[in-house]
Amino acid sequence: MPDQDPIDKLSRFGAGFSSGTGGDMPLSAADVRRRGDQIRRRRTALVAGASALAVAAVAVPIFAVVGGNPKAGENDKVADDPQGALSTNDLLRDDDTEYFPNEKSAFRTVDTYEGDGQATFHPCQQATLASLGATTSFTRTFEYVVQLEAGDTAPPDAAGDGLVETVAEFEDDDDARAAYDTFAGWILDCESRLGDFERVNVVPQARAVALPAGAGDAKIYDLNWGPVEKSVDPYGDASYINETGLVLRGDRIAVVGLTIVGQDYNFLEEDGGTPVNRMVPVAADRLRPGGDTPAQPSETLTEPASTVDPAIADDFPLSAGWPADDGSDVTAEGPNRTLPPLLLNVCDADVEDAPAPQDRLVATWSQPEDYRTRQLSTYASEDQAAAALGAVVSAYRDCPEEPSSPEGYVAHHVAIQSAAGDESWVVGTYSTFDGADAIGIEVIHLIRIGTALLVITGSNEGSAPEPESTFLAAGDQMANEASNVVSELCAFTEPGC
Amino acid sequence: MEAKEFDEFYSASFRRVTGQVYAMIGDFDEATECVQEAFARAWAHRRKLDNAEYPEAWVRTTAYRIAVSRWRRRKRGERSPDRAVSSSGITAAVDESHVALVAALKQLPEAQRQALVLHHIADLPVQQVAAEVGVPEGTIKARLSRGRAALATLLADETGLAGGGMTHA
Repeated sequence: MPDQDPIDKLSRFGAGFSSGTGGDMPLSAADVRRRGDQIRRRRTALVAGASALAVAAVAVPIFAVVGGNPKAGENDKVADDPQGALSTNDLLRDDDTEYFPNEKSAFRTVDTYEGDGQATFHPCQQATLASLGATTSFTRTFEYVVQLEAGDTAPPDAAGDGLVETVAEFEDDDDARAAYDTFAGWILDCESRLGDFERVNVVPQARAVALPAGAGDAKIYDLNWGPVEKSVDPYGDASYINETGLVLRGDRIAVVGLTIVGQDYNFLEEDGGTPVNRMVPVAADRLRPGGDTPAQPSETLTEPASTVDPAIADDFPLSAGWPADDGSDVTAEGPNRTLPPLLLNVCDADVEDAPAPQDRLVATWSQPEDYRTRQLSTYASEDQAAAALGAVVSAYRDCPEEPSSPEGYVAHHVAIQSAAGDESWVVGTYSTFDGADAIGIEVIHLIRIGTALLVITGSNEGSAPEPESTFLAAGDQMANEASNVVSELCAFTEPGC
Repeated sequence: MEAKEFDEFYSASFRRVTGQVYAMIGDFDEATECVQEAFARAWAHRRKLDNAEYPEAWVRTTAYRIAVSRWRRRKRGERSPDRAVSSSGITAAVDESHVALVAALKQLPEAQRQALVLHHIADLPVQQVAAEVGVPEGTIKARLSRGRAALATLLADETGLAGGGMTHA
């Protein structure tokens, strides 16, 4: 069938566009250059005044800073740095800051202070950190270093943008975890605090950040609101765009918030992602106990390149262990690369399939009331595989309860660490109706070995009167059923099989 | 890069890159907008572009990333503040003969589609495709092989093709 020769068709397609028959250019080259000049000017529009973030706090109309912790001393004088205690050494330094990739020292310190200060440091903050149990905290605000080029004029001052970091220490790990979760909740609830703006958008799904083993947990939330003041953008197109990184390390947390004024905020994954994406690993490193000792240079956080070949063999036994298709009511598909990837949806948001896998196989098996899927993804590094796992776990952990369905059913999610592979979690979903257990559970077992992430899903008409034990048992059963698959994942480790 | 040089680069490359991005994402208007935005960013970062070995590859990659980013934002239901280059006057001047091919490409996994487009439409050697995608050459060869086989099957059964948006998951 020469007409169906894909190479010929692809080549003719390319030639068609090369010959200029592929559509007009909607903008002239001069228009595109003008647009480029706007982008470049906006790059310099990250001007922050001496108290930019404090101004941001004032700009948010309904702040209520409440509470106080008698254990926490609060003053404006920065304390000395006793050995091992939280100190200003645990904050990001100017050299650590970036906006564009590799643009070191993009921000410079405006102020550093101890305690909760006179204003909230984040627009979504609902109470002082002391009221959450912080025994010590430090905050540093930064301003963007404007680099004007010949012919540029300084952009208008945009109050409310800039970079701020707060680090805090708690009595114990549990208190720190609770504060970390509470701050995440404040961000997700931020729409109510920014209600006077015409448009407010909080992305409900946090982005996972890959940290070196033992460096703690981290995630990033995105939100934007606008319009900004007319003196900055008379056309009303620009918004405040904020990304906030949360880091939990033992009994300490860090909050890294970056707010810009603009219309878009796109950074390439291959360049390290967004500015906060690039700064959070450094913040996590600074946060480690023993802040008096010099922090590791950020180069040590660079993800080592994996030498593991990410290609999955076409005959990889992904469906091994599933009951044979006896020709009755079983439907089995795959493993192959054409089945759609798993699309997980939690609290009305799709779980981001990131980082992008290098290769992926999917297989499904189903009988009435029994649906099973296995998805094997490989990544460029172990850290990326861990981040992909973390993204799923965080999504479910951040949404313990779904909104009630119109019929009155409420889905509940539970995430429990399990013991398989290098790292594994069982995520379970069960439902209640009017407070009583309803029929139907879903279980996801995520198992990472090396650069590979195996996701096994199953659902049936059972119930989960004791969710943790029920889901752990179901997860164990799924892992046992897939034992021949798991044992093959050694191919994606540095030592190999 | 000076204005005149940029204008020539834009005129010479715009349609070609738009075609490639269109083949990758399956939406001609979206491809046009993303490529325009990528060229605008290229001008904003023209010093970086001066150092790029393949400026057209820089624009193509940037346009594709913008498309993926915009798609993800739409998927999240987010109101995009990125309206700077949207134009109501864009017309999908697409050759009818391309529709079936693009529809078939949309059925392929993203990695295979990207490899096919870069190798057979952008006419890049396997080595350069591997460098642009960031995976080993062997992986690209495998994706090309699987992609060609799947595409041939899909083209042989064009009546079964469905429409729809991008197929990123």
